[in-house]
Amino acid sequence: MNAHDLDAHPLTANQEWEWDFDHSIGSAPYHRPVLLRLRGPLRPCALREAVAAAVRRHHSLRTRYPLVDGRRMQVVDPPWSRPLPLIDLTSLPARAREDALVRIGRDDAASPFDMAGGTTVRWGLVRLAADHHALLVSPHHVAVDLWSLSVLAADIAAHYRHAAAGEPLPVRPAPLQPTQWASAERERWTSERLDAALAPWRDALARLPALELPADHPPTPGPKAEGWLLSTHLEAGLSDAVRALSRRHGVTVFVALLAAFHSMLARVCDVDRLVTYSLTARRHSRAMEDAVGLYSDYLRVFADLTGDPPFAEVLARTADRVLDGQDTQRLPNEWLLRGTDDGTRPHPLERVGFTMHNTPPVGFPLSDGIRAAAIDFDAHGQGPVTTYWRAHLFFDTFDFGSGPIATEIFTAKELYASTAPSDWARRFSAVLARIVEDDQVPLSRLPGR
Amino acid sequence: MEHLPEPDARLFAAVQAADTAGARTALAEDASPAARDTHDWTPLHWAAGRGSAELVALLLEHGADPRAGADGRTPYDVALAAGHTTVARALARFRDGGTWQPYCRAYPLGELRRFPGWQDTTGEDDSAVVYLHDDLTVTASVIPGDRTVFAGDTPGWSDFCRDALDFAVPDELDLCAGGPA
Repeated sequence: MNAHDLDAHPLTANQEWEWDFDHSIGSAPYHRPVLLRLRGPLRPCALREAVAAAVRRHHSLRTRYPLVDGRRMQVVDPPWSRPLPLIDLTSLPARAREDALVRIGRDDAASPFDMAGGTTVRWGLVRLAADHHALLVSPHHVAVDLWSLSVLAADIAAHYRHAAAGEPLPVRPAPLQPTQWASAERERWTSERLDAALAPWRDALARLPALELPADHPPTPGPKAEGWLLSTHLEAGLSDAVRALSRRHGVTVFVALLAAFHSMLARVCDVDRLVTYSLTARRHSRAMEDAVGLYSDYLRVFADLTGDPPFAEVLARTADRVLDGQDTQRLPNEWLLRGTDDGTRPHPLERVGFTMHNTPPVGFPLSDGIRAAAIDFDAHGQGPVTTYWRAHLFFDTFDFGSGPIATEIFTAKELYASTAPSDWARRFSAVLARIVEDDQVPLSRLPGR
Repeated sequence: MEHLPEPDARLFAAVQAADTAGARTALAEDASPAARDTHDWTPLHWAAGRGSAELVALLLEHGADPRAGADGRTPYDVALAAGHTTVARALARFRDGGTWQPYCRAYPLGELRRFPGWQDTTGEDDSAVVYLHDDLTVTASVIPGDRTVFAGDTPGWSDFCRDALDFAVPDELDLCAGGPA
């Protein structure tokens, strides 16, 4: 395939990361489709128009990622006029329709994407009855990150309202497209600028002590990036106490939890300096706010827990490091990793991570008469499941201001048995319980292993 | 409407107000049914969006292009999305296609097994749900070609789908109505 013939463009730095990761795990599924129940007098043709308009507007919804002349590229396909397949369940007995709907969600979650030749976003409109539908939106992360999902939902809802009212679709300035971002990145990050930006990272990594995570067994050969994922949550009372602690100290809940996470690692691994990474939306400009694609990146926080500080001091130091990182870290993740690669896997900057999500669940205000609700079709049930990520240990937390703070804990199978996520959940809860009781507790007095 | 010549601006205003008499007057004063506004819509797009069969007929009589596209939408598409069934049916003769595709319908496997030429190796019982696609293939997944159960190229299968399963790819006009926006 020839780049010129295909109108192929280079990838952004983080699309490169995503491409490599997808291929490293053999395109195993690690995406999370959205299945939205829509009850009420839906106009299916208006929704079809709205989806088509969104696909026209946002290039990442119709981009594929082939190898061209041996290089990873992105090819934006022309918009197709009818991107919304109709899945008709009305021939099934009523009871069987709900089961079939849940199965559609689960089957999609288990289906990989063909990044090179196929679509990286799957759509479907499921019809259970004339006034009961479900919209399936299933994007590969390379096409739609979490922030983008909210942008996409708002776009589709706005287009739907206009189409259903017999009006023209809203005309808005063209959003930033991934091909434009890729071009801007390459223009900004010359080799001189890259080298200058990488130097302090190399220094910082060289000064870090080794982080020996307690493992269940010596590293075992096996599929890389495969791990155990457990969904759990903090007790409601503990969650509220963490929020109260954050407010008292004038920090975000993310900072409070991250400080606790660092404290836990310091105690368990017997170190006083470490680095973790956290997912950020990285929507630094107006142009990016309305863009759909993969723009999220990672914030690295180098934790300083020297001097056996009281937790309140750890909190202050963490807040400083997070703010500083948000202000100064601009080097794209993939190029940072490549420029500091010492051959170890996971990369030292990807070994341990902690993220908090507080973006409200995707709303879908189609019209006053239609109630939209996300369907939870996850089959996680009670125990850990297999998933894929580049880390030895990763915490994803979810806080929406009230109720239990949810947590998904990933531990690499290379080091851990299936019980490991529970072990880490227990350690984290123990540390949190101690610090909400006494935020002046010194690090050395926190629970360890 | 500042950018439009005067009779065209009056035509758009009349159509948007569902004022058939006003539209007729503007057309008599040489307003162009092919004019485009700032949304790139023609008067026929607006008439279709308002659901006015009378205005649609008037504009077509005066040579309005029923296939004029604006952002990928013809007047038929506009009427269809807005649930204006009468207008959509009046414009349907100008549409391309008209069935909703891709399409698949779920059936319990037992119903398909009534086909005399049926063969499957799924090992599933009759209550298992499978999907019959618009190309008459059957899969265990809603994704065409994914986990194919039956290739659909057996003689008599097409007739069986139509007669015994009552399978047909829906006309989008039949899905048009919905309810209020």
